[in-house]
Amino acid sequence: MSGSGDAVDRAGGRGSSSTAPGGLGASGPGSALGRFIGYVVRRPGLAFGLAIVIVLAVGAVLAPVLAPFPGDAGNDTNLLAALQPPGGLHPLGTDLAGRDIWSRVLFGVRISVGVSVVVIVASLFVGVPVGLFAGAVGGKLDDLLMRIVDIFLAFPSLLLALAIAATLGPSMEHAAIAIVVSWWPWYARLMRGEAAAIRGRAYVEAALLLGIPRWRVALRHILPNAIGPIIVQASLDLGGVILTFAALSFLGLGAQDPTPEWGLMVEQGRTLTSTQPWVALYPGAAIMIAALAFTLLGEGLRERLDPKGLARP
Amino acid sequence: MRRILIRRGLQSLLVALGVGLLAFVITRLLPGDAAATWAGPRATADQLARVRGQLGLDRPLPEQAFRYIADLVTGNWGTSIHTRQPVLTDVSGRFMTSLELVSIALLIAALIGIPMGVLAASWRGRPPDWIAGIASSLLASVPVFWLGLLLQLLIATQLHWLPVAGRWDRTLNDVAVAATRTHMVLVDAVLAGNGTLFVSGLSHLLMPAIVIAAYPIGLFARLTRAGLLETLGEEHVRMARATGYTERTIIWRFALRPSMGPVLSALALVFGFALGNTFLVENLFNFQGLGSYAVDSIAALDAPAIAGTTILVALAYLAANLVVDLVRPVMDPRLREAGR
Amino acid sequence: MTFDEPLLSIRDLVIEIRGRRLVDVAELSVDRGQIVGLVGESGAGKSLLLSSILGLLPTDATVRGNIVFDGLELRGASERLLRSVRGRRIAVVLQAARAALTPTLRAGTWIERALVLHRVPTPERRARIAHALDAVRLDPALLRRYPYQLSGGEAQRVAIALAVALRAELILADEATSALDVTVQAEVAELFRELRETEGTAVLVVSHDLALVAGLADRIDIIADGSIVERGGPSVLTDPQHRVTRELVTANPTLERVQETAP
Repeated sequence: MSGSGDAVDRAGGRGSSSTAPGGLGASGPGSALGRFIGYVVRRPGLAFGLAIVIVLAVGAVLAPVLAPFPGDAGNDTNLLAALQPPGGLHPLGTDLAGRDIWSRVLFGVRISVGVSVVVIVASLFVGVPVGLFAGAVGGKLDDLLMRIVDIFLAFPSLLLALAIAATLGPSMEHAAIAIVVSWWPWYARLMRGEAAAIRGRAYVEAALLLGIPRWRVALRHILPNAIGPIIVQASLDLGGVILTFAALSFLGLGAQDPTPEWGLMVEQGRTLTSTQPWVALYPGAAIMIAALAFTLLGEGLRERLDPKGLARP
Repeated sequence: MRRILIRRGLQSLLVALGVGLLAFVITRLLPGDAAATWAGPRATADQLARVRGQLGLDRPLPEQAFRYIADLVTGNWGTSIHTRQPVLTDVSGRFMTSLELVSIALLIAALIGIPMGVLAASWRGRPPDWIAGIASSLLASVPVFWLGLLLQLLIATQLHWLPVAGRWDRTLNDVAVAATRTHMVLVDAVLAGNGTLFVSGLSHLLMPAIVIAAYPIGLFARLTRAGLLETLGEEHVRMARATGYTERTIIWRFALRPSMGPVLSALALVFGFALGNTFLVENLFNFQGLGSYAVDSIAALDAPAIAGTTILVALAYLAANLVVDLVRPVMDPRLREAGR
Repeated sequence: MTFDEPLLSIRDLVIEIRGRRLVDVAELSVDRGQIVGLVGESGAGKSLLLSSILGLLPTDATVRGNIVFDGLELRGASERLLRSVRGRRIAVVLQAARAALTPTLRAGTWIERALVLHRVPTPERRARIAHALDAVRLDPALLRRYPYQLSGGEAQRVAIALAVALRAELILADEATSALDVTVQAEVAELFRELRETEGTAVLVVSHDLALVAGLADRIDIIADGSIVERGGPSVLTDPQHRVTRELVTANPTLERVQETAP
């Protein structure tokens, strides 16, 4: 009754031996790729997400080839073909300026996913070192840094974006900056939490006693062990940034016409929803699908990389 | 523990102050002339200069900032440049409106999300579980503005089940404005004893609340499921089974409460986030809440107003976190040990 | 259902999980008011055996054989029947004393709810609880505490008090003393002996601690690799026959003293 008769069978994957922190492979026979594939196949959600991400990647790269009207993603307009319903030449219809929505959606992948990746990377670049530093040194410096992080966390991100847009003028770059400023504190917090926990462990103390400089201990011992939850968080956040960026563009603070950004496209179809719903419908669906893919990816990886659930969902 | 909370409380105040300072400085750095907004388009150069002096805009920035903080602490949040009202009055009124909306949204989210999580945990591995999982992921991925547009299209325009926008029926305008005391339409309606207004207010709140609730529903479901599954593996649950309780009773009466910790923390987080990001929903549904006030303030380069808004939102977020930290040990006595 | 028959009678019990046979016991019985010790090393199958009595094995386990309690066949019985037996007629005391109590409930509430569950009439409840507290020598004031505020021994007494309050005829003690301090272990063992006198409660003590069981049980069954290898009174320790028993005895230095004081 105690322990051995564990009535709850953990959904696949936990059965293998001790989870190597930060690694997807457990000990055992088979190549790393084989194990990874096995892991993915057992999780339909993760498989689906991964599949969509791959499709998105293909779409992003091959957009100029796959789009029937690549010019429509740029400056081309065709007012004679404005507001055509889906069908025939235009599988998803055309918008107010007669541009092919399918082509624009396709090119939009580059923008949405591209911006998100840049934003996340930038946020990691700022947040992880700050958090690592704070967590590794501890004490008053740690407190001070975390208070500063708290200030940024408490600052409403949308207002910040609005302010930046008001100052510098609305554009994709400015919207991206605004998002980075709001996002990096999460990584700092996450990293700091992990670093502080690991810092207290025996092997870290041992390393320090041996005279290994603190920075090296931080980089070689603390960072690799904390990387798991950060990967999960980053993946989930890719979805979140896609949504946030689209929202900013919807409000007119991000991408500007004629950029085929999905949020902007939804806004352009906003007043037409009852008569020409496709103008707003399909770009919005694209946003959802892209965000969903990364969310599923992050959640699917969570079991392996972040079993304690430190990454905020 | 009380000492820890007091210390946290003070820290939070400092953080809020920091946020306000940041907001103030940012705003003063924005290009444009706040004095021009105040004085109006037909002001002469002399008048502008005088207004600038009055507003303290001719002082060096650090001095302005210092004065602002000093005023804040004594309760003077300044006067809004674009409404000419005390910022505190403006901001607290709008805050209440947004608070009402967000509170209803979170209530809906909890009432749907938590049972959904319980369902997923009870039927672990079987259809209800992965349907709930798919739903959670979908809800976490849907763009708020798109969802809002869709719902407006389907529910309001096509089905006429709920009104498209606004806070109350236009015919009740005079009544509503007259009844305004707390700026929360439901509370005001109750205070005024006006049932029609209450119903109208509620029906106008539902759609925007649902839109805001979408993401938290998925979040709460996921957290509840995870927490519950973990609790269900604990010894006291085995003991409860061995004592003869049904699985159902065990889940709802013994396992649920100890699992709610992460959900409460998430609640505070979502609360703060929603309050700070209401503009999107307000824009779609024509609500005069904090978000639209903030946007108007930014357009007018109204530094005190912007700073005031930001501080209040930050305070609310920090307060929510403190409350959750207070409530969690009440819900789970294991957290009550000294120095938790 | 005469009083000559054992209270609990296990026959030909086979438990398999994923094709591996983990328990294979030909016969094990407990008479009314008897204290039986089931001793073996970790992994010998003792806990699985206990779990199977109340039908609390993991879903991927298969069970064959007979588990008869007071004339009722428990193996393969309906959940309804099992639930009526659990707690009310067969009580359980687990190893992790404090962790076994619901953390969000005060000890007293925890006991009360179980009494309500098993339909003890309201006027009777208070009397039963008072009597139970008396029997386990637990200060009533402790009932107002939460599990985290109780010591291991106190928490264990709460669990035993519940068994007494429900008037369970058999207590399954699964390593009930293993996590307690040595002096507290002796107290709990003494408690089981007393309950046998005052309430007539039978106890099936599962433990790896041969010394403890030696001073407590009327009969000791030694289990290894899922089967009973030796059985007997306390003489099992002074004169072990089976290899496993001998190993257990020699591995336990305190047993020398027990052997000297054995009745």
